Order: sequence, then C-alpha cells, then structure tokens
Amino acid sequence: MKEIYKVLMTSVFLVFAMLGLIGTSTGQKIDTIKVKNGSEELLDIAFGKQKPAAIGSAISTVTSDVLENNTVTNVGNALFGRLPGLIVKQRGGEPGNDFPSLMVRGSTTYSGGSDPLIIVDGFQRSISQLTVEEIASISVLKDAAATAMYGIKGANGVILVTTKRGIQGSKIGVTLKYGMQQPTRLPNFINSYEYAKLYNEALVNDGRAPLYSAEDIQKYKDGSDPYLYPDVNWFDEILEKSSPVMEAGLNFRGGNSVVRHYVMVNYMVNQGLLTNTDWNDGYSTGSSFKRLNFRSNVDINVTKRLVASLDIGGRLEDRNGPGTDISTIFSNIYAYAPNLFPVKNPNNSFGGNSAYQGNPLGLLTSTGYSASNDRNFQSSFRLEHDLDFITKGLKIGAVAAFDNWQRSTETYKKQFPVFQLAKDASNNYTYTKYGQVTSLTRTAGNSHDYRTNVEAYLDYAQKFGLSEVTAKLLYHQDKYVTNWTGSNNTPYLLQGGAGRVSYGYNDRYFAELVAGYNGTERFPKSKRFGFFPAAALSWVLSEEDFMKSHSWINSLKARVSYGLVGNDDIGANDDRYLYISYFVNSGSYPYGNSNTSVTATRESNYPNYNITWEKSYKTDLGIEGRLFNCLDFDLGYFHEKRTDIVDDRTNKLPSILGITAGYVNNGIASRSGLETTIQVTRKTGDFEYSLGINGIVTKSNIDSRIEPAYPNDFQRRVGHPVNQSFGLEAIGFLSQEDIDNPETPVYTFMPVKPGDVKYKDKDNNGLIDSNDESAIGKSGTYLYYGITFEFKYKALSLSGLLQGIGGANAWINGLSGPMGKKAQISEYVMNRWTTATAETAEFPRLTTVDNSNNYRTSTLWIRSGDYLRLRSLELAYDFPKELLASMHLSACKVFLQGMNLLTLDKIKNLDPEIFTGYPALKSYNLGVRLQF
Amino acid sequence: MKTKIVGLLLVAVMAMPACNEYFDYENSTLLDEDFVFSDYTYMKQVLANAYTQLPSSFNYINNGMLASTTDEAEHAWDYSTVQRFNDGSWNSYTNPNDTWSKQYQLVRRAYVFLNGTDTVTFKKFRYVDDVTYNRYTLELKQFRAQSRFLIAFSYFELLKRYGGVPIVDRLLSVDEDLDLPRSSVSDVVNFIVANCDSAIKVLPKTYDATNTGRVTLGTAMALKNRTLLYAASPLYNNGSYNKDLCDQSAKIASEFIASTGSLKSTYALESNYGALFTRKTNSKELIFERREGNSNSYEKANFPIGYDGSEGNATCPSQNLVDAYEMTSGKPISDPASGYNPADPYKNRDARLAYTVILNNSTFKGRPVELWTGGLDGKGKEKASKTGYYLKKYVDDNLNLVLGNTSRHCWYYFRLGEIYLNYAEAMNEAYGPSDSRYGMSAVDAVNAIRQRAGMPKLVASDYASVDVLREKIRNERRIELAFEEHRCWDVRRWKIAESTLGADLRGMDIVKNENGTFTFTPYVVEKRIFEEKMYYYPIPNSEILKEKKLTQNPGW
Repeated sequence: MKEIYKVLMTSVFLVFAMLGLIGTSTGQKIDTIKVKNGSEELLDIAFGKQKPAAIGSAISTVTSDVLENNTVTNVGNALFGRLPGLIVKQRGGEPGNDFPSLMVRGSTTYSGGSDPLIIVDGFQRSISQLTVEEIASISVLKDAAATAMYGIKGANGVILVTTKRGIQGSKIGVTLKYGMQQPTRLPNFINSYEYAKLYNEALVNDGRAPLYSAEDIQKYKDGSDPYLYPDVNWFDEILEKSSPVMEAGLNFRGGNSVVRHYVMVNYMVNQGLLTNTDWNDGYSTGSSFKRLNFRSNVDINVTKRLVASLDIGGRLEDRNGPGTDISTIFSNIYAYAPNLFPVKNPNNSFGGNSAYQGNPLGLLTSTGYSASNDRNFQSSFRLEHDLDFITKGLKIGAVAAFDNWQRSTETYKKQFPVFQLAKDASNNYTYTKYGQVTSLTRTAGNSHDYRTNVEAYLDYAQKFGLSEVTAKLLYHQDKYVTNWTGSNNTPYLLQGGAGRVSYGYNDRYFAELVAGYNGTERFPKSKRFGFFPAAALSWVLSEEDFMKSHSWINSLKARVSYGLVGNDDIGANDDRYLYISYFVNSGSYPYGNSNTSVTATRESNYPNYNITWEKSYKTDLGIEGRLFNCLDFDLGYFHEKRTDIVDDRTNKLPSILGITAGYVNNGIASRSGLETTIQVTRKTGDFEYSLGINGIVTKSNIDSRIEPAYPNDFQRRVGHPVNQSFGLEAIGFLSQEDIDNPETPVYTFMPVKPGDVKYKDKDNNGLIDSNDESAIGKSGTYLYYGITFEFKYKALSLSGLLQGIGGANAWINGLSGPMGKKAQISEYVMNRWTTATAETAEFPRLTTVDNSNNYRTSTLWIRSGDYLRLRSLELAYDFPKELLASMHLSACKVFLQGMNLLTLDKIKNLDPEIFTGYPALKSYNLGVRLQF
Repeated sequence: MKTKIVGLLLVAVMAMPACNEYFDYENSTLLDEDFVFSDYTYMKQVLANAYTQLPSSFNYINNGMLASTTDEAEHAWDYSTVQRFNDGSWNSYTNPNDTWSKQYQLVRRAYVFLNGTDTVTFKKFRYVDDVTYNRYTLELKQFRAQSRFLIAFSYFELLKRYGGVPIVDRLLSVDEDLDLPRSSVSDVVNFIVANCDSAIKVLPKTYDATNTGRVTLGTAMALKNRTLLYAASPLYNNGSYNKDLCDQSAKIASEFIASTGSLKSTYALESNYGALFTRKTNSKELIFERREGNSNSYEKANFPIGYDGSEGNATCPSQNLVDAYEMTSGKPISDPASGYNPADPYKNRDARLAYTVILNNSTFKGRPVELWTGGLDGKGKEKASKTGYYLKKYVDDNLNLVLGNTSRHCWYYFRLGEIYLNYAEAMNEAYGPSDSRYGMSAVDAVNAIRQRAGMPKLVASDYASVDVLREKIRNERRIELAFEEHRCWDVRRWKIAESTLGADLRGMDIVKNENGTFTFTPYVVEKRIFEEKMYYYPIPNSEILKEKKLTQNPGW
C-alpha cells in the first residue's frame, strides 16, 4: 500500500509539474502553503498567530472561501478531504445529528480516546455549534511543536477554528440556499416471494419441514392477496424520496479605526426524510431540525494601547421527531421481514402480531412526538494592553469566556395496537388485537451545561537587526460542568500554563521552543500536572544565495520538530476516576415475601494510585514550497510513539483476587506516515484552473501491551495496528466429504453440516476454536485523500472535491444472519451455499437457528471498505461587476451545489460508510450569494 | 524600573495557579468507602451485592439447566453449550458451567463487607435513639454472619466442582502474592464448617416478612449438614463412607427433624409435594432460597412447544429418570410384581412423577399435552421435546405468555426434604438402617419423605442391609430432589457417574394409534460421554497460566 501510494504521489507530482508548464501563472496565493516572508497575513497557531516562514511545525489550514463552496448542513461535512491529516468520517444523515467524526492522523491508542481537541476562538468548544458562514478559517495542528502548549490535551492533535472579525470598511452579505436531500443508497432487501422460498430452504437445511406451501409462495409472487400475503418495503413507507433543506443568512462586516464588527444571522430548516408525519392534528412526527445562529464579534480600540473584544455567538435549535426513537424505527425496519404482516389491514388498522408489535409506520405516526429546544451561547471578553512603555513589543492580555448550553426536551408519548389478520372458516377477516391505544403522556427534561474559561498572558515580539524574537507566557483554566443525567457529572477541570519562545535570524533560520504545563482532575491529586516541551526548526532555503539562481524555485522551506504531548482521555468516561477507590450501585437482589429487589452496591474497579496520562512523542519532518510559480507542495513525514497506554491487568492477575484489577499505564503503540499536498494553479487567457491532491498514508503498531495468555503467537495483538481485526480465516464451505473425513478438524462452536463455513485450523491442533483467530482483514495501512479541482472560464466556474479512503474493511455480517427471527435479509444471500452452488457460493447455507459457527467474526464477512466519493461539486456564475453596479451590489454569485453525488466502491448494496440506521444522504442545492 | 515591572507581571501570571484552590479538587459525588459504611442503607446494599453472586439456576447455562448435564434430562435445543457436557467437548478452555471467578467475586464482596463494617458502631444513634441503635447493632452482627455464610456457600460451590481450591481468608490486595496453592479437600471442608459455625452463633431463626430470603440460622446449619455429608462421601474417601463425618452430619440434621432446641418449630415438611414448587414462597419447608422477581422466561423455555409463547428451550426429562419412579405400590417398575404396564406406563406411578414431569396426554393448561409424533407438542415440531417429556417442576402453569404474564419464582438451595434424606444417608452409613440414637432411624427418615408423597413405607426387604437401603435412599433422593441441582453432584460424590452420567440418555417415542391408544417405545436419544477426569471440573486454563502454584485436576 505504501509503495502504491509513493508511486501514485510521485506520478501525480510529475503530472502536476508538467501541467504547470502549460499556460501562465495566476500568481494566486494558495491558503495552505505560504512560505514567503514579508507582509503576508499571519497563520493561526496555538494561542496566537505566527508568520508562515517561522512555523516549523505541521499545520494545515482551510479558509472560508473554500468552505463556502459546499452544500452542507454542518461545518464538519465541509471538511472531508480538505486538510491533509484530518480524517473525517461520515455518520448517518439524521437532521441535527449528522456531524461527522474527526480524527487527526488516526488513533495511536487502543484504550484512550482519540478525539482531537477542538478550539474555537481560543477555547475548547463545540465546532458543531457553528455555521460555515461565520468561520474564517480552520487549522489542524498535528505535531508536538504545534500542540505542546495544550499539554495534557494535545496528543490527539488540535483543530483551531477562528470566526470572522470586523474589517475596515463596510460590507453586507446575503446568502440564500434551497436544496434537496435524498438517501445515497438503501439496502436492497429480498422480497416476500424470495423470502418465503429461502425460508423454506433454511428450514429444510435445519432438518425441519418447510413452512410455506407452493400455494403460499405463488401468492407472494403474484401479489393477489396483499393482506394475508404481503410484500412490504418498509423504506417506502417511512422515507420520502427526497426532502427539502433551506438556509438563509445575512451578515454585516465593517468598521473604522476605532470599532470593527462582524455580525451575522443564519437560519436553516431541514425537514428530514420521514414521510407520513402529518397524521395527527396539532403536531408533526417528522424528524425536522431548525436552527438559528447568530454572532457578533466586536473589536474596539478603547485607547491607543488598549483593545477590547467582545464576542457573542449563539445558536437556537428546534428538533422534532416521532415519539419513538428514530433508531428504533430503523432497527425495526431491518428486523421485520417483508411478509410478516401488511402495513395496514383491510380495516385500516396497523398490521402486526404477538411477536412483532412494533409496526414501523405505527411507531412513526402513532406513538406521539418529541420536541427539543437547545439554546446555547458562546461568549468571550478579551482585553489586550500594549506595554510598549515598558519595552517595545510587549503586551499583556486577559480573556474570560462563558459558554452555556441548555436543552429542554418534551416528549408526548402514546401507544397503539396492532392487529393480527387471519381468515375464519367462512372466509371473513378476523383481527386479534395486541396492545392498546393510550392517550398522550408528557415527560419533560432539562439539561444545562456550562463552561468557564479564564486566560491571562504576556506577549512579546521584537526585532533586533537581523534577529527577531517572539515570546508568549500564559495561564489558563477551564471548568466544564455538565448535568447530563446518567453520567458521572462532576465538573471537568483543566488548569495550567504554557510558554513559547521563537527566534528567527535573517528570515532564514527559525527556532522555536514551546512547552505546556497543565493538569486535569482525572489524576491523583499530587500527580496531576505534566510538563510537555517541544522544539521546532525551520530553514527557508529559498532565501539562501545559492538557491537564488534557481528561478523556478519560488520558495522552499524545510522544517523539523520533536516534542512530547499528553492525552488525559485515557479510557471511557466512566473511568475518569481510576485513582479513587469508590462504590457504585450495580444490580439488585430480592428479599422478602414479595421478592422485592434491593439495590446492590459494589466496589468500582480496583484503584490505581499512580494512574497517569498517555504520553506521545512526536517527530515531524517536512519540506514545502512553490515551484514554477504555479505548483505548491508540502511533503511531510511523521512518527509518533505513544506510551503509558492504559492496559487491563485482569489478564495477568488471578481471579481469586475477586475483582477486575483495574488499569495500569503500560502499553506502547506507534504510528508513522506520510502526508502530502500538491496543488497547481494556472491561467490561460480567460481560462483558469487549479488542481490539487492531498492525502495521508499511515500505519500504527502496538509495540507492547498486557495480553491474555494466548496459546498461539498469531493471536497476540502486539505487532499489529491498534485497530486490527481478529477472527477466523474462512476457507470455503464444508462438504459432506469434509464432514465424513476423519482428518477434518473438530468444529467446536456447534455441530456442522454441509454448507457451513469451513475454517483454517491455524494452530493445527485438530480443533476449530477461538484459538485459531488471527489478524484478518487489511493490515492497517490507511490512506485518506482528497482531490480538489476548480475550472474557471470568465465568470463561470466549476469546482469540487473528491475524497477517498484506502485500506479500510467493511463488515457485512449484519444483513444476512440466521432467518429464524424473520428479520430482513439482504440480496447478498442470493449467492448462498446450496448443493448446486457449492463451488461458487459466497455465503453459507441458510438457516433459521442461531449458528455460532457461521456468523462469527471471520474473513467471510469482510469486504473492502475503500471508496472514492464526489463529496462536493459547485457550478457557479459570478455576475460581472458592471452589471451589478446599478443595483448597488458589489458581488453576486449564483450557484448550484451538490454533495455525495457519486461514489466508487466495492459495496454495491449499501452505502460504503453507513450500513444501518438513518441513511447517509446526498444533496443538491441552488443558491445565491449577494454582497452590498 | 521596566525590568521590575516585567518581573512583577511574570510573577503575577505564574502565581495565578498558586493563589486559588481551584484545582485542589477531589470528586465528592463518588460513594467512598467511609460514606458507604457509615450509611445504613448503603451498607446493606454492599451485602446485597455479595448475595447477587449466588447462583440463579433457572436456565442459566446458555438457556439450559444443570439437569441437562445429567441423566435427569436432555436439553431441547441442540446447540446450547450445555450440550458440551454430554458430548464430552468441555475442557479447561471451554466450560459452560465454570464458576471459578464468579465464586471468588462473591468471596471478595463478602470480605469487602466484613472489612468495611469492622469498625462500624452506629455511635451517633446511641444517645438519641436507643431503639434504632440497638436494632442496627444487632442487625449488623447478623449481616456479618450472613457474609460469613456466603463465603462458606461460595467455597461449597467451588468444592463440589473443583475439589480443593485456594482458600482466601481475607480481602486481597493486588500488591500481595496472589499465587496461592490449592488447599486440600478437607481444609476446604473445615473452612466451610468454621465459617458456618461462626455464623450459627449469631444468626436468627427467621426474619420479618421483608427480609425472608436472607441467610438464617437454619441455612448455615443446612450448609454445614450437606457439606459434612459430601465430605463423608466415597469420592473423597477412597470409595467408601467416612463414618465419623456421617455422624457429624446426621447430628445436625437431627436438630432440623426433631424441631427442638435452636430450631424449635421452625421447619416442617410441606404437606403437598406438588404445591411446594408452585408459588410457595413462604413454605415452612424452605431453608434457603433465591427469591427472584417477576419473570416468565422459565415458562417460555419449558412450556410444551405447542403452547403460545413457548420458545422451545425445554429441559426434557429423560426416560432414565421417569423409570426411577416407583409404582404406587412401592415397587420399582422392574419388579415383575409391580403391575407396571409398558403400554400404559404412567398409570399408578409415584405421584411425584406427575408433579415433576409433564407426561403424554396429561392435562396442562386446559388441554391434553400431545407428545406423540405429529402431535401439537411432539416430534416433528421445531424445538419439540427430544425425550417425550416436558418439565413441570417449578413451572408456573397459570401464566399466559401471550399476554406477557409473569410471576415470582424461587430457586430452592436448601429445603427440609433434603435434610431428611441427608439424615437417612448419613445414619445408614454410620449406624445402619434402624439405629435411632438421634431420635429417628434412617428408615423412618425415608418413610417420612415417602409418606408425604403418598407412597407406602419401606418394607423389611428394602432395608435388609446397609447396602440395600443405600440404593433405596439414593433412588428416593433422585426422585424427591430431581431438577433441584443435586443429581449432578450426588452421582459424583457416590462415584457412580460412569454408570449414570455416562449411560445412554433415553427417551420415549410415542405414536398415537387410530383407536386413540398410544404405543410407547423407549429409544436412545443420545450417547453420553463421561470420563474419569470429569468427576472434577477442570480449573480454567487461563487461571492455570496466571498462577504457577495452581495445579490442574488430573486428566485435564
């Protein structure tokens, strides 16, 4: 994989280089790569800004003009494939619940959390509360030198989000968008006719009598009796083909030398795909999501030396949904075979029977509704005073930030009956009722989280001849209080300081020393604080005299960094207090003549008084620059070694201890990889284009870990990537000869029959058991890449982004299990084992009973999860300035945008990213962006 | 000047952490040990946590019961892991009934309670509320005694499975040497007896109506009685009984039977054997039971397959067991004079048969059970009984599963009926059939059990010798205590497992004739495998690997 990637990247590089020779340079700046010195704008770094040349660490940035080219309902979906090293993974498209997961360069821990730290305007905040409109830039800080100031929170990388601020002048912007969403792909389930036939086949395989007669099957086939022989496609009953999304925004950006402002409001309505939601008077059961965002960022020069900034951002969210969880409705869709019962009976009642009372349409329409309202505010107040009367370049500042998040939920629930349909002797329908109608009952809940940040700092920047020095010293504390019921809701605390000194000489040589010193409440009182130092060097080669003669090299910089950062998120949330010996309620025991349960209380895990954070040692090398005045590149190598990963001692301690022995810092894992960005931008006459590719290829390895005493070496997790799958190796299907052959190993999971999965006896001990499980699936080399393109002809432009992954596994066992519970079955099973298809079958024989031989983790169920998706595409027209002047417009852009329009992958029947639940979506929208 | 100001600013920034106690933080909502043991309710909950580790024996082995590992029954569902005991594929890696870590968890939880309550005094009540103070103080002593019992119980569970095991006599810490060797069987027996004895000194005879189900004085005595009988048995004594231990066991049993002294008027045999297993949660026969909440999963598993709501995880009683029930005349069916008619095999049988087993064509929930081939509940139906019988004991036939009815269930660990049979066995082995030095002879004890079931007394030929009576007692025990998790251990301690657990498991093939009569043909359902090593369970391989001093049982 790595080799392929190298070849790929080299060829892409060469192609781009040649492309670069056609046409002339646009001279346009690329946001992600800037090495030129001078008056360029500064880039965001931890707790400040720095000029690009001086940055010796690995940072990638994307700015608002790129983000805005996406049709997205949340910021996260604009980040696919944009930032090298930022791995964005899609989740289902449920309105208001569709933010993707983010990871920086992949996970290097198998126990701890790997979520990056997300910083919005200086403090840890939720990025999902923002709209694309209000964001100026998003940067990913990847190596230790970039994140060391975040110390104990820095090991998983940091995502810095900066919102827009006021400028001198005055601009008014209006954005209007209208779009449609629809599922990318829904699973193809087999119909009733096939289902009945296959169910009979499964029964016969199990040595039982068939359930459906030829007459039954014929009725399923011809659909002549849709009530007693139904063929239901639940997706058609529950989902619209498409649903609308609307967004409108207005912003004011301007100011003068004293006051500058950025003010915006943005409103979005997402109707969601659920259909038949208007059956009830007075309320809808649709999964709609409405939000209103607003922001006011104001900077005031109070005196010549004092700048005050007041930022307020807010978001109101209204969610509506059916009285039953959407996840339950979807899981019933997957769990109910098409022939179980009709959606509705002839008398218009809901179909169902004693075992299947959760008619999905009934759940959607007749169980009431739930509504929630979120109100959240992010505010910060900043003062910065120039101390040039003490020494030139010195500043002092302080920031306080108060964030609030409140959700009130109201649920009005009711129940509904289902009726099992049958025909009596005189051929009349009979109805057997299960369940009752109830009236709506209301439950309401409220939760309130808040966060308080305080920061104070000294800032210094000064030039001395050819030398320049910058320095920063700061104190920071963060308190986060959540009252989510059910979790351990004591406050989350962070406190500490950080410092940075950088030195530059002659615009060529730069050195930086950074360090964080901070701690959290997750560790024992006396062992809370850690010191996290890092250093970076950068060398701007293109400023050297010996390079000046190469006119094709516009700029060239080499960088290197090394340092230590920490991760305090060492385990699951419930493990926040691994150092405290405490008791928890767990289970119950009944006493008394009426067998009344009494809550039981037990010791929590065995405490570890020395528990500490994960330590991450990161090395980063890179070279970046601009060639031929048109080709920007950034090539990097990174290596991370993560130590003190929490291991479970249970595997080593005898059970006579009587308790899970708790956790120790022991494990070691490492990760290395390559990161690339290449972009070419050229112009020929009126035609302008830009092509870019960015990507990461990386692999992790567990170097040390406490493991159970596996009888075989191949079972050990050490030496494999942190997310390696383990399972049996399927080698076809058993035949009668196999079963009769005394040489065939003994299958220990259950007695086997012809057509059951045949496994490799890895340890050659004559037994097929869990000790034959070895590493299966792809080896863990992971590729994540984005390809960007933009073509412009006069006022017309076409731009877009393709994003893909390589080295991923997809597990398809969920949709073709045993048929006994009468769940839906994927079309996959058409390629099952039968005596006739024994040679070509892809899946084992059908069965109705739980089968612990066939449906266990094995290579049989792995498919390639690789894909390449057209994440976004925009066709836009910029009206010529002359035309607009008469309308007092300074800009007007009309655009057509799309998301997830095309997908290349090997999972034909399903969306390659989302297998179950609310489907993944593709969307289209039409919009206009005006500026006055 | 300037440098001073800069210095001051630096100091100010760096001093911030020091000048507040922001971070001098310790979680206050977690239940710490001091709080838990100073709070009466929480303290009781910690003890409840030890109780939760007591076995819950309804369908707990992958939907199967331990009975299905013995000659009592066969599990209906082919692929339940309980079958591993029967096909011989259980081992130190895979043992569906392995309880090693569960028992040691119980032991730890009991020690946690004992350690935590070591110094609890309820002093704060002493001067304000004498009544509460006295009650709490008394209860605390009883709670500690209950913990002692639970430790003993846990070791008994280990003993009967694994033989001698490491004895943990305190709360262990990870920092100490945990590589403990196995103790001998007699050391474990002594440890169980010592814990019972210390509990016996403190425990009350009974509790109020909200605390039934807790360990009582009788419970501790019953465990001691059973433990000593086991310890006296052939498996642990080179094939013969240890008379001294028999005597000790019998002496304790006699206190129950005489209903005098410390157990005065506490226990009595329930008059109706059948009623004992249907919702009888306050019978005077019960000595210790697990009082489970409302459920119907046992009924879902065991209702004949043709009844709505049955899920077909039945424990199917075997022909081997059914044949063990005598005729109402008191003669075994093998006796030609018994009047047994193979064409009408369930006629005139010991009444306990119909209370224990659902028989063909008997009425259950308002209709005859159709166990014949092609019948509603018989062969040909998916997950139907494999033996021609369904299980009746403990099944609540009042439940309507379609309506989702549930009811309270109780699993009986000890009941007086067993104590009679323990007494009979111990007295017969120690002093012969007719010695009544402790108030009742072995024969009388067996007769008491038989009479309750409506069976005639033993006749002289039944107790002609110790050996003859031994077989009678064992058969009585087999049918009286069927499906109560005795058989599995009894045949092991008697060292007769090869001929019982290893015997073919038989069922009854039933054909309904056109004239409405039935044809009964016994047949072999399953060839069972029992090897000598299986007298003891294997110690889990993972533990052997973790502890150098832990030795595996022979043959595993």
